Amino acid sequence: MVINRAGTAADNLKELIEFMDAHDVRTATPAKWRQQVGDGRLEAVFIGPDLSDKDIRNLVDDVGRLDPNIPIVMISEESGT
Amino acid sequence: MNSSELHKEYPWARFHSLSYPVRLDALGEVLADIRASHSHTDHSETKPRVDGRLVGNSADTDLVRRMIEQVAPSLATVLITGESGTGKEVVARQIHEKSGRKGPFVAVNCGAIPESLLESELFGHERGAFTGAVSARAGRFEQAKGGTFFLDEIGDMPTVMQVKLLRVLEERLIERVGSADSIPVDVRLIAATHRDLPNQIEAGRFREDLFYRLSVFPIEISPLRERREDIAPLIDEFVYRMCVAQSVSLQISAGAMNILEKYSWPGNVRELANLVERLVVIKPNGVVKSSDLPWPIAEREDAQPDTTEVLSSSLNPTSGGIHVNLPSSGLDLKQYLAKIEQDMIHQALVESDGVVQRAAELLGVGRTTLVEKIRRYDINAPKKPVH
Repeated sequence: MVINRAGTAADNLKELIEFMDAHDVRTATPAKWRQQVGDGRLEAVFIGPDLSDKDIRNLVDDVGRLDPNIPIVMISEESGT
Repeated sequence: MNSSELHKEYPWARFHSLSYPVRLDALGEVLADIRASHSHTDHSETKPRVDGRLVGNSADTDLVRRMIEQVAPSLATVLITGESGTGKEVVARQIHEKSGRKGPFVAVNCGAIPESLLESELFGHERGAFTGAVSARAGRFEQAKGGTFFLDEIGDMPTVMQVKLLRVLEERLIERVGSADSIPVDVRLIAATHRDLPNQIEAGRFREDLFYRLSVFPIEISPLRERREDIAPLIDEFVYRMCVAQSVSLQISAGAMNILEKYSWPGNVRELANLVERLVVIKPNGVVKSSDLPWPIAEREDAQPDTTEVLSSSLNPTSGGIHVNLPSSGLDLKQYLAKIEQDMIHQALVESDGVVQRAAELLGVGRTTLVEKIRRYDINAPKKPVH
């Protein structure tokens, strides 16, 4: 699942991930993602570049509560570490 | 906020990082890492939902075990109900394992598949059936041939699909999308939901005929807060399993265990397993004390009174509670307690003017649980007053 505020960046990321043969990639905003997942399972969460620190912390907390094994991919404007 | 800050703040999390705009080669590496980590983390090692056995000593869990034994050898359709995280899939897998069926166990989450794709996912499609159907594909029903087909979150299935599923259950035939040919399917069906289906039927969201077709053998799994005797064995089991998987040694102090046993576990067994897993990461080779428990659990322990203590004190004869004169010939305790339960349900229904949800709140049980008990005891709910 790709979580971002702006739809365009999330849609671009979704397309790229699907291009790499990943299936059932979904996009969501920080407010709606949990509702969208429901009781389903997540293989990974991609956190888009335009989220605030507060959004990121909330998201990581929530993902940890759901399942601490879920890989979280941080996407930032600066180069990855 | 950069990745190294996040790593420090969330040592348990599995972070990866990418820079934006994303380069395909970097994305490829991250996806390969994620796939590798999934293949290393065999979920059957850590997740209750796919574990092969039920853990717990409560009467409710014993009853579920007995029901599994009873129904497994038959071909009866089973409807498993219970809150999210109670282990509905674990029960479904157990039924499959004990059924002796040679085919696979195939699971589909109806709530996770978009409505437009669900029919093709379940029944398959022929080449050219719709845009993008470049080749024919067997659906999950066909894949489950000779085995068990588990339809999770059946309460989220769109009504159009409910009609098609009903037909499959009645005729044991499916048709791929884009084909008029019927294919016979030898499949044992198990459905599950966290929703209150009778309520969904009332609201017009679920077909009554499908409900009766599915609930040939209903199994209700109680929420963890209603079977607290299971909490300690479950914690012990998950601690053991995760310590073995990760080669660490973790202990839970008596104080922490006490708090965990009192916590309400809204996410049920899944929440408990996730907490243990988190504790193993945070305190490998250590003792978890009550102060190590995360906020919601520690917080609620302070906020809520311990209902066990409240109940036991009100039932204590010395505090003027219930006093029972045992007859010299003895009594049937089970029958006696069932009578008390019936009386309390009736009283709660009277006090709530027949509103089951309200009565369930008064009794501190889930609505589904109460509906099942009302049905079992054949209690006539008082009519709601007309205003």
